[in-house]
Amino acid sequence: MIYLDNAASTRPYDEVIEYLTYLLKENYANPSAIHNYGYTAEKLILDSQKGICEYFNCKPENIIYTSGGTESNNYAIFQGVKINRKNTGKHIITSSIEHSSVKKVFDKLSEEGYDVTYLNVNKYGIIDIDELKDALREDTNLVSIMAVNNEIGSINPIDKIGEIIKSYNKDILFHVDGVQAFTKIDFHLSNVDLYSVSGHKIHATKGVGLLYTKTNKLTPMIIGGGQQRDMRSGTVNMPMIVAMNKAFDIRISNKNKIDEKIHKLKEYFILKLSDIDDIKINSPLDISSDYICSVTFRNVSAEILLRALEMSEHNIIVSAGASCSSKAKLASSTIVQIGGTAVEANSTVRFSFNEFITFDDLDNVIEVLKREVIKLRKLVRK
Amino acid sequence: MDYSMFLIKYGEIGVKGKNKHLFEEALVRRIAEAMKNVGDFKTYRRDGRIYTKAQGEFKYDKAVDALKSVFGIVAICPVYDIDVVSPNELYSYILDICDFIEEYESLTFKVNARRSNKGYPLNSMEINCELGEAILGKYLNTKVDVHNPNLQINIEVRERIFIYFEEISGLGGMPVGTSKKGMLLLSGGIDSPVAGYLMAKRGMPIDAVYFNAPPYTSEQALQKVKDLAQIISKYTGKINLHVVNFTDIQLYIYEKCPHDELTIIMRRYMMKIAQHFAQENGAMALITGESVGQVASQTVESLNCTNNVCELPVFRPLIAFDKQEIVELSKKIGTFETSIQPYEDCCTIFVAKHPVTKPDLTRIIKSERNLVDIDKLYDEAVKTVEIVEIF
Repeated sequence: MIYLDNAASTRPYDEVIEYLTYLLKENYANPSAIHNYGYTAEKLILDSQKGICEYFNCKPENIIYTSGGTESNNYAIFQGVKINRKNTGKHIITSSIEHSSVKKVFDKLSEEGYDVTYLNVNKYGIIDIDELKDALREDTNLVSIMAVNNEIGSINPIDKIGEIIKSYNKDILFHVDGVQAFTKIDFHLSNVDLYSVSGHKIHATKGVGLLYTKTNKLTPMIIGGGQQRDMRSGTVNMPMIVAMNKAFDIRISNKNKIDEKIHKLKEYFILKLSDIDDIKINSPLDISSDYICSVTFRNVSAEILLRALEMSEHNIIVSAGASCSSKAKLASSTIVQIGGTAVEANSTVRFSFNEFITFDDLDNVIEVLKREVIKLRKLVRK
Repeated sequence: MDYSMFLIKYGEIGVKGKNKHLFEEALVRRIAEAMKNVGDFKTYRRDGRIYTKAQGEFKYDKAVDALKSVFGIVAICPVYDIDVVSPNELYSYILDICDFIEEYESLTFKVNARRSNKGYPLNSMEINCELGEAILGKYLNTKVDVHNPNLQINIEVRERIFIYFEEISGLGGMPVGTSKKGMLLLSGGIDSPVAGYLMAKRGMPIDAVYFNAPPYTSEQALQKVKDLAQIISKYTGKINLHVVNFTDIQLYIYEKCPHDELTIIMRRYMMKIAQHFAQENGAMALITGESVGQVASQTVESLNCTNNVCELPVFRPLIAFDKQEIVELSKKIGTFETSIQPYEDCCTIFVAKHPVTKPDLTRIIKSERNLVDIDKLYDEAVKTVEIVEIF
């Protein structure tokens, strides 16, 4: 198998799996229990999150562990707008290419009476800074912008955006969906109030994530037993949290090596793609994330190509995220938002990398692609 | 005590002369199969009746539901099955289980006793009278009506005593297994599962063929067909689903033949392959969900062209059905919601923009002459078939 769907989910690192198994066996206490065994579980979390706290330059209480990216995004936005601040109102801003776990929260808030501004993106999927400046108002409450887009890997200038927002009104909350960026693309986070992270995108497991919150005024979205300083009730998922923090540490300590490898992979892949006619690269090198390469293969159905790749001798796994039959959904796909047509959106495949992929793998992928694309293009409806 | 047994009434099969026992045996077999999923039941024939009796706990609704999916059953009677007791004990037992009468303002009833156990102290008429009086005496809201009662209390005194009030309508038709097998061309659509259901209604066991076209069709499309087969297997019994990889044949036809004839030529090959598996498995007919005029490949001209390759008879039980009628039937048998899942099958992906609606057989055969290498692909498709047992 050649797994090129790492933006959807990653294989947990072997060390993470081993450590997780050890934790599951050795400490199954409730971390909130009073006995020492429970305290040990809690201590494991505290000890494991030093690296993450350093990354965010924060204290442990600024980290809230969640079930993953969707919960973190829901939490940040739903609860963020509720924080009582003098100089804000009911205006909120986001971009037109957010992940649905942000987009749908904004839709819901709009139904509830919030005034939403959706910022357009340019042909590379990046928001226009001037448009943001114009959009900010006296009653702006919260701005949520994704760091890296999940479909095409476009990178928003989070540093600059933060500066603009905070110099306009420091009380406006700035939330960043960092799911595709965390440990992959770095930003200055000094102007970021809320930052969402998902465990399974960084070679930890599904079902765990975190929300970094700079402010201590956030109120909980899930209430109950009062775990995590009352910020997120529910028995603390110690093994998966500690395993996620381990995956983070592994990535950070190898960061330069990993980044370099991923960059070379994408560079090589794009170079090799030039052997195939009539394609469009939606994730140009150097201005988008090296982890994601979105390619439109004109006159090819992405869904069929995806299956052909999987059925091939190399069992190649990719994603055709935008591909769907519903026109409404297509219109909101990132490909359409950056100026593509619905047909192009349905012809777009996303390749997303990890550091274990080899150049030989990519050669094999290109060989299969060349063959299958030619085959599929022969079959057009006449 | 709750119901522990069902008395099964059957209609059409009762009049089959010397073959009667074959039909009854088939019905017993099908009932036993259907009850396997409900619990431990013993199904048997006795005195020209079929009974299925619980050997332990079971869920009543699930049992009735299972019996309602067996062809050949006209009515299902949930039965109280008790030891032979004295008339007085019997009356008191019946008065007890009749306490639901109190819920009615007024109710007409009739007692219908049949005593075939000649050792019993009272005859049928005497039981009718005495029990009738006892009911009138206890439930003052009741009246006797022997012609058109609201409630009929049936009592059968045999080696045990059976009491039942209710007749739940069954599906009718003939028990599956009383006819030779048919091979159903099953797509993911609305029509073909209904066609299979209808042929099973006439006693026909079903095997099925599905034409898979990966990568053009998805694993979900195949799963959908398996799900559909699973739903109709409730009525048909076990189905051997033949999954044929049809991609190469389709691509070859696409490459070599006029595009407006693609669907017809493709369907001719589907029929040929289905017939191959029919003959290999002792099926004596093909079954399709075709209905005149529904789509281009189902005009009379098109049906002539596809029929031309078949030696076996092709049963098309939906031939004169309107789409809406088919939809209603599919909802009734429970396939509709699965059929409308949006996964493309091989027919929709390869269809031409303007398919020929009045194909000419001579022209079609001429076009097929371009398919010089088709035999190899045909053999490969037949050889690589994957058979999935569904029950």
